[in-house]
This record gives sequence, structure tokens and C-alpha cells, in this order.
Amino acid sequence: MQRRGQLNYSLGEITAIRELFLSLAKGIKASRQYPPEHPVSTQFKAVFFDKLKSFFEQGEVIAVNVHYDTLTAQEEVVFRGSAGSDNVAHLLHRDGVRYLEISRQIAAPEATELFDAFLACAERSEQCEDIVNLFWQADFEHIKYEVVDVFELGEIRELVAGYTPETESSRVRPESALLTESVDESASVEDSARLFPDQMNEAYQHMLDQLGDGAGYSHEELAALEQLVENDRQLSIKDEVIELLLQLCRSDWTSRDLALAVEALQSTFDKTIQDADFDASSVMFNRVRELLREGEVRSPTARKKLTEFVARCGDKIRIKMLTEVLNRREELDLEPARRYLSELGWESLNHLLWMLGELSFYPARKMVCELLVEKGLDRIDLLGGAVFDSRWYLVRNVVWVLGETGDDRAISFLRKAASHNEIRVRAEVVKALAKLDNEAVVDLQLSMLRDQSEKIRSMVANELGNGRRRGAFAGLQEIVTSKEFPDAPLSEMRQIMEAMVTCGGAAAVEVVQKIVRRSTLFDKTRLRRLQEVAVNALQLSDDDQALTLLEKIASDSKSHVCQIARKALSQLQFKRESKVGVQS
Amino acid sequence: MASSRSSRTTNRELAGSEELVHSQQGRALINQLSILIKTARIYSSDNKSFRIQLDQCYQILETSIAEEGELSLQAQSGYLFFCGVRIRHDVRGFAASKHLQELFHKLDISGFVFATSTAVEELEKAALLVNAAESEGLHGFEKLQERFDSSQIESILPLPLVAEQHEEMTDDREKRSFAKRTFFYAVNNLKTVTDMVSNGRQVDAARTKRVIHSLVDQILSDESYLLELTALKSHDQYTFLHSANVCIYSICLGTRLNLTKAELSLLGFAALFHDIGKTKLPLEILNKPSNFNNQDWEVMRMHPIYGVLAVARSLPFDERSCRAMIVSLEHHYNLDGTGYPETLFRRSLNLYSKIVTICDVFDAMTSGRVYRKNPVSPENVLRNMIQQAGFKFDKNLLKVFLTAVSLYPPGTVILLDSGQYALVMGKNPGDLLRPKVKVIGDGNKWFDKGIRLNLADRDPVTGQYPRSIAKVIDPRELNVDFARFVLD
Repeated sequence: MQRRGQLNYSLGEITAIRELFLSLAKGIKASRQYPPEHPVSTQFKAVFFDKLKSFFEQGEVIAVNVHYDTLTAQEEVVFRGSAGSDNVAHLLHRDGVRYLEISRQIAAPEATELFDAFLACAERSEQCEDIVNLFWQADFEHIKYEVVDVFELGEIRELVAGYTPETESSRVRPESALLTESVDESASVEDSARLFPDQMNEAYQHMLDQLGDGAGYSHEELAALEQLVENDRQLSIKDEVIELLLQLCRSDWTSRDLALAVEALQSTFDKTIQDADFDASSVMFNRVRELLREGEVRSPTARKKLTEFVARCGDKIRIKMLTEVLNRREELDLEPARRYLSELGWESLNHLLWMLGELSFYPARKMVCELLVEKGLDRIDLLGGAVFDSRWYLVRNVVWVLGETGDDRAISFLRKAASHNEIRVRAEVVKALAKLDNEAVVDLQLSMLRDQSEKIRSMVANELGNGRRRGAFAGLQEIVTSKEFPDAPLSEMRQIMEAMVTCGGAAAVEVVQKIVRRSTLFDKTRLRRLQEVAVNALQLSDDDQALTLLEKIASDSKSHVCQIARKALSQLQFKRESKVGVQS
Repeated sequence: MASSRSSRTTNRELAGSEELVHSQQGRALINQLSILIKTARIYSSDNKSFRIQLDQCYQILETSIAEEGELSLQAQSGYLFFCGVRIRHDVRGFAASKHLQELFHKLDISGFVFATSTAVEELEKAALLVNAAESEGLHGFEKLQERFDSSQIESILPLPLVAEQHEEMTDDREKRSFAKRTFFYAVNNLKTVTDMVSNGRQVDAARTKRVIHSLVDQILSDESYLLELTALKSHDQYTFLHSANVCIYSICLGTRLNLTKAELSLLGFAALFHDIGKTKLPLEILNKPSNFNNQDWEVMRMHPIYGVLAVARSLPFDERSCRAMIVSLEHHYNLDGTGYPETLFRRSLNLYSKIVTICDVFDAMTSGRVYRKNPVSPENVLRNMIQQAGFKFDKNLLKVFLTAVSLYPPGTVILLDSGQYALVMGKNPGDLLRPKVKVIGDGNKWFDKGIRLNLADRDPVTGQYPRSIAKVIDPRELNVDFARFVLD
């Protein structure tokens, strides 16, 4: 390839090249956080292509020499990399690329492939993909590159050492013997060595004739060859290999060979997880279970080994691998992972709980939580055990899961969590309790009305009100009528009063009536505030007596709560009318 | 005999792990050496920081020497080689690697050799001396060597620059030389991978892919240079050379089917590893000099399955390795469903398996023409293969192969009408009766180097062919080391 070092770039062109490689580096850095088809990634690719177009508005060829951490065009440094994975000069230089040239005919798909090649080898690991291989596979049309290949550096003498044959010619290779089984051994060189060229040619033509049209290829032959290639391209080779490995694992072999086969199956399975190919993981896992279930594994050893394989599919090692994969980036299609995890048995529940505590990104945690709701239903005891975990965020997630199960057995674990030091856990308990359709949660809710945090108390009161739990009335009445209640913060007082009115029906109206009748000579403000709150709360009651009471208070213009009663009455009437309207 | 075999195998088994260890140790040494030299720039030799870095560097050096013996660290064409193994570092190791390469460049050396007797005092002196030389702007290998000598550093030697070799390949000779390098790199790479697989290690396929890509490129450009190397046979390296040959033949056949470059790469990879399962066979069977009994055959017939299992364990689960697994399993299956091994997994053969089977049988049978007791001539091998077309081999693919290898495949030994013997190196597409050959002698006297001759070239004066083929020869009659003619 002819290097274009002598190109005369204008200052504008040099600037455009600089911007181009800068956009590439930025794009790589940003895109590493997202999957290939993510809008962010696509956007950066578009910017890169725009920069290319922008250069080609003025120039013909972008030609850069690659150095250790710089790219130069016409002796000008156009890119200088740092010790980051976005150092495009390093990514090229590391694998031997010393020169890169892009010509103006380049179109968006080719530019995207170039971008993707950089992205694929930008992992922070020695084992990541080789950029020269990626370039080769992309088979660029308008991008040229010059590579110093390692094998170009080797001395032939060193490489060929040891390839000179032995002089003895007596040994028979077993490999040759193996291949000659079906070949006529008697046809030794003696038969043919004396063939003269004309006879050889005749023999050759005869051979070609035997294989069909000797003069060339017939239409049928060409069509058959094309069909062979076409059929091959339709194959799902991964599926075939999975099926092959499964078949090998159920063969009637020695224990050692079976162990090797299951080991290979395990290794392949692990790789599917590490490559985030969870659909393949699911296929392998399900197929083995199917074979075992349908009695298609006859050998007891094979059965034992495959049963162990199934158990390992959901063990801590695999769940840990999966966790690492899900922690690689936030934007990941989680549905295949969900499908795979949902196949696992209850034995994996503890590992899933461990996983929940290790996941970095919210979407993955949400997925696992939802999965635990499904899987945990039969094992509330295992699930609930996690409320004793030292990580508050895990406990909070587990509380959410317990609530979603709607199972009464969750209550005892929620009771434990209700006394957790972390307010966010207790808040989640309040929400979880609201999801349980059981009067037994009321005691716990009422006890949480005495929580040290006003926020929690307020949440509980709200939930109690929304829940209209009859069983809560007595407890709420006790709180409302207690001496300390008028000293509570106003908002909290309101919420608890409203909860009592909502839950208590006619009995609650009576309690309000008693409060309204109450009088005192001392600290009148305190009582007034309580009475105002109580009257106002009546608007939430479904009971007719609330209407009657409000009408009575509203008509008593001397009462200090008259105005509040009027407002509440009008609200209650409006609500009732609306309700009737909707029903009619 | 048995002991020599087992010692050879042990060395082979070690090679794969050696490469991995080299990479790790190399990276560690590069990092620490760079830190040591940089520290020497800032602190004096009695400073605590310098002593700590010196000790750490010496520790790495000592460990590596204990395991590997003499060590070399050398820069060439922008790469760093540790004991001949290229060190591919990630961005974390990039600063150290860059520093050393720039340092070597400034000093006009390619690197250093550390003898087994290297002492910590010598390392200390060398670090200080190199640092001083850099500051003074000392340039030239000889000058640095003088300094080392005068400082009595005997176990650490600077290395002179290595000539760069990546100029354009313009003539035939360079292309042939490049083909040889690629071919042997493929063989050596296969050895390394085989060793890693037999030790159950994970294989990084990037290097193998590179070499396959290079083979594909060269075959697409002009297959003759690589095809002529398929004439090279060796007992000791049989499996490796055979696999490389099958790889080349398969790619040649694949190009005629208009497979894409990416598909040719997959095919080449699968072909190169088709026999990898043999690494899992017991040595006593692999090295058995006499004929196999039934039990031996039973074990031998497991090698396709062992190949599948080895690839599954040691290579990534991608299309490339999946292709290799299928080919490994099927390369002894016949078109009609016969063949081995016996498994429950039987369905119509994969295209790549059909291709590799043809190339495998042809190369194995013709390899015998030099070493077998009853060698089969290429023509007879092809004749036999044709007889089995339709039930053992795919008829159409076999025809494609036949036109690719032609009448006189590379490696065929012929007698010319001039009375001279020659080795066929390649075909002339326009005249299959007149291949390109290397004349190797007249039976009484063998040349030091073969003389290349195109039998299709006419005498410019008479318009006649100066030489023609008289007959095909049984190579045993000549008792000649043909490999040296292939490689000269």
C-alpha cells in the first residue's frame, strides 16, 4: 500500500481530521455504556459519520500514521490518547496497525463498521478482540490499513526448525492407516508410477468424466454446489452444537468419557451466560431437564451427571456469573435473563436473593424482584429470611417482594422489618402492608403509628385511611382519644383522624361527636384544633350519620367549627352527588 | 524409544502453558522495569523508594529466570517480545510498554537479555546506567555495551537493533518467503493451541484467526505459494503439518465455491482443528508403531468426539468454534451415513465437514507417498476417492477438489525426459500435464537447492518444450530428504 505521507493537508483539513478522531474517541467512551443499537450509541456513530463527511467536503483521503499513543497526518499530531479505553491510537498500534487510510467514497454502513470495530476491542482486557481481525472480517472497501504482523517478524529458520523429515521410512502412521481403511491398499505406486503423461491425462479426464461433465460444470452441478452453500448458510450452527453436546452426554460411554462430555456441556453453558446468551442457556437447561424427565437418558451414570448439571445451572457460581454480566451495563435486554432465571427451581432462591443484593442497576434489580414474587410464593420462609440481611437496600427490596406476594405468611417477616433502623425499609413495610388483604396487618400498622419518624406515621395513617380496614378503628380511636393526640403535628393529626373516620363508619362519627362536644377551660386552642380536624375529617365518611352531624354543626352559627362543618358538608354532598351521577 | 517419546511429549505439553506464563511474567517485568528506571531518574541508589522498586523488579526477574532460564525483552516494529512471545497489553500496561520502547529507541538498542546468573547488584547498576545514558543522550548499541562492560555488568546484555521487514512484497521470492512464514506460523500456532487444549486451558483464538486470515488472503491472491508447501511432510510433525495442509486445501476448495472471506475464515479454522481430538488420545496408542488391535481402534475412533469436547472446553462458544466442533465430529463420517464415531447425533453432513473430509483423506493418503511402506500415488488416491464419490464423498465437491489439486499435486516426485528428477510444486492452469517443478538432481548427484522450472515454458528459439514428464516416481526409490527442496 502506498503511504500518503506526502499529502498536503490544509489547516482546515488537519482540524477536520482532529475533530474526526476526537469524535471517535468520545463515541467509544460513551457507547461502552450502552448496547450497540441504543440511541446514544447510534447518535455517536452519526456524529462520527458527519465528521467524516465534513472532512470530505474539502479533502480526498484521510491518511494517518499510527504511533504508540498518537495519530499523525502529515507530521501533525491529529490525535493524542491517554491511558483510557478510548485511546484509538493505542487500540490500533497494540495490534500492529501502523497506517490507516479512509477514502471519500466511504458510506455510513462502512463507517459504522469501523466504529464498531474500535468499540469491540476497547474492553479493558488483554483478551479482548483483536482490531486487525475485526477489520479483516469487516472487509472494508474504502478503508485501508497497514499491519505489522507478528509472523512477518519471525525468522523462517526458527519457525521451520524441527520440520525436516526423518530419513527412515519404515514407520506407518496410524492416522494414515485410519484413513486408508476403505482405500484399495494394493493400488501401490507401482501400478501407476509407470504411467506416461498421456496416460495420466487420459486417466485424469476419465476421473473428471466419472464425476460428471468432464469439460466443465453442468448447470445441474453448479446448481447443486450453490444449493450446498445456500443450505449451509441457513443453518443455526449454535443450536446444532447444543444438540450435539446433549447427545454426547447421554451416550453409553465409560464414566470418564461421560464426565468429559458433561464437563464440556458445563463449560459451554457457562460461556453462554458469560456472553449474555441467556436464550441458549435456557435451551440447554430445559433440554437436559426434558431428557431426564422423559427417561431418554438410560445410563445411570449419565443420569446422575446430568442431574448434577441441572443443579449447577442455578448454583451460586452461575448466579454470580450472571450477576457480573448484568452489572456490565444498565441498558441490557433483560427478558432473556428473566426467562432463564424463571426456569430455575426454588433451590436457587437464596442465590437469587444474594444476586439482588449485588446488582448495580435498577432495571435488573426490578426484574429480579418481580421474579422473586413469582418464585417466592411457595417459599415465603426462604424469602422472608432475607429481612435479617445486613444490607438495608436488600431488605427493602425483599419487603417489596413480600408485599407483592400478598401472602399472609409475609406478615411475620414484615413485623421484623418494621423495626429496621433504616427509614427507607420501614417506609417500604408500610407500602407492603397495604398490599396484604388481611386484617391481621392492622395491629402492625397501628404499632407503626408510633414509629419514631413522623413520615412513617403519616404514611401508615394514609394507608389505613385508604385501606378502610374496619379492624383498625378501635386502635385508631384509642390514639385519637388519647391525651397526647392533640399535641401531634397538625398534618399527622389530620391523617390519623381521617383514617379513623374512614375505617370507623357510624362509630367513628360518634367519636367525632364526642370530641366536638368536649369543652375545656384551659388551653382552648389545643382543643379547638382537635375539633376542627375531627369535623373536617367527617367529609370522608360514608356513613349517613356523618351527614346529619355535619348539618347540625353547620347550622349552629355560634359554633367555632361551623364554617369548617359547612365546607366539609358541601364536599360530602358533592361527593355523594357525583357518586350517584356515576351510578345512574 | 519410549522414554524419548515421553520426554518430547512433556516438552510439547509445556509449550502452551509457557506462552501464558510468558505473557503474565512479561507484563509484570515490563511494568516493574519501567518503574525502576523512572525511579532511578528521581532518586539516588540509596533511597528507600529506589531500593523497594529494585527489590520488586529483581523478585520478578528471579522468579522468571527460575522458571524459564535466560530471559529476553526485545522491541521490534512497535511490539514488545518477552522470551520471543509478543506481549499484548491493555491500556493499563500501555505507559510502561511505551516508556521502554521509547527508551530502547533512544539508546539505539532493541532490548536486553538477562542471563540466569543475573544478580541484584547488576540490575541496580544497569538501571542507573541506562538512566544516565538516556540523560546524556548516549546513542548506539556498541557505546552502551562498552558502558556495561566497564561497569562489570556481565549478566545483562543490551541487544542490537533488529532489521525491520515489512516492506512491500513485490517479487515472487518475497511472496514465497511470506507464504512460508505464514505457513509455519500457522503450524506453530496450532501446536501452541493444541498444547493449551490438551491441558484444558482456555484458548485466545485471536492469533489463530490472524493467521487464518493471512492464509485466506494469500490463497485469494495466489494459492500456488501455499499449495506448494503442502508437499512438506514430516513424521515428527505429521499431525501439525497435515492439519495445516488440510486447512490450505479446504480454503482453496472453499474459494471455488465462492464462499465469502468470513466463511473461508470459519472453514479454515475448522479445518485446522479437525484433528484436535487426537491430543486427548493415550500416548501409547498414538505412538504405537505396530498395527492396531480392535481395542486400539475403539479408542482411536473416539478422537472426533474428544475434538468436540476439547473445543467446547477451551474455545469461546461462537460460530467459529461451533463449526470446528461439527467438523471434528463429522470428518470421519461418510455421505451414506457410515463411518465413525457411533453417536446418536446423525443427520446429513455439514458442508464444511464434507470439504474437510475430502482434503483430509487426500492429504493423509498422499502424505504416505513419501513415508508409507506401500505409498499410494496421488493419481491412485484420487482414483480411489472418485470410486467412493456419492457414498463416501460428495461427488460435486470432489470434482471441485480434483480440479484444484490437478493431475500432479504438489509433492509428486517425477522423472523428466532429461533424466532428471523433480518435485512438483504447483500446476499450470493452462496445461495440467506441465506443472511447475523443482529439479532436484539426476539420481547420482542431488543438488543443494532445487532448480525451479516451469515445464510449460517453451524454448524461445525452437518453440519446443525443453523438458517433459516421463513418469511418476516412487519416492522410496530415491531416499532423498525432499523437505529441504520444498523449503529452500
